[in-house]
Amino acid sequence: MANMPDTRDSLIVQVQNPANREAWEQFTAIYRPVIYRLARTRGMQDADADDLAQQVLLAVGRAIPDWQSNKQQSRFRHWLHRITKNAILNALTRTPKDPAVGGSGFMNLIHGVSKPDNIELQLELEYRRQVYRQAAEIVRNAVQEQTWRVFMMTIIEGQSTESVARQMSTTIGNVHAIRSRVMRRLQIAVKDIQEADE
Amino acid sequence: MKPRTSNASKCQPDQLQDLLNGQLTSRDEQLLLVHLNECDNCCRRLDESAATPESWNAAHTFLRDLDWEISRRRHEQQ
Repeated sequence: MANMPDTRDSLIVQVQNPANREAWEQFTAIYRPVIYRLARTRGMQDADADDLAQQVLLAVGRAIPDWQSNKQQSRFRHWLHRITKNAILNALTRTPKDPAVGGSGFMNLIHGVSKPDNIELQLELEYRRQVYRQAAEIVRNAVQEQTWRVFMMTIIEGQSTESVARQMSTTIGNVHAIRSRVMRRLQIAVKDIQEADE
Repeated sequence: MKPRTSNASKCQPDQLQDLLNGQLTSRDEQLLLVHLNECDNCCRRLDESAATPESWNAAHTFLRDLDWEISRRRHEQQ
């Protein structure tokens, strides 16, 4: 996906509270790829999917002053998730004749929800996928390369523990221990990300 | 290859959690790893202790192309 630093910066500027700014950074790191993949699964080309992710995040970013001026503020993260879900569902269920996102269309995108088919399920699935991938990157950076390799060979490539033990010159017991420990760390990282989002 | 059978006399399920948490002494860990070489039941218990079957499946499904994506990202940044 292409980086768009100018837009990102403009979005960050609207989040004045440092704690909320961190929440926004974490939020976009999860939702940008979620929106992109959802759009791709619905037949959009790479550039269009990227553009849609940008539009949705822009729409959400522009609504942040609404949240900031609301006296009965819900938690920033809760609010972000709710309006983003609405924005995604609307963006993906709009007909081609609908106006492009911009101007008053932004508010419509955020506040109204079109009738979803299975997009809501897809959204949940893609969200969960992204949480796992972020968690995996955290764990991957925290363990030795060989440890990660053993995990990927057994879990992702589906190789037997016997085969991996032979290739990595270690024992079957060690392979089981390594992959289970990595899995435990992955579960903790997933939980941390999900709790930060709740 | 030596058949992998359960040796109930050596099974110590309580130690599996400690292994996952890195709380075994070096000696106990080595003994347990040797036991895991021979005991399918304890290997299964260890998997179950680490995560639910649903979580193992989720990892398999969601992380399939992760390394490829990270490599691609690094390549783009260079």
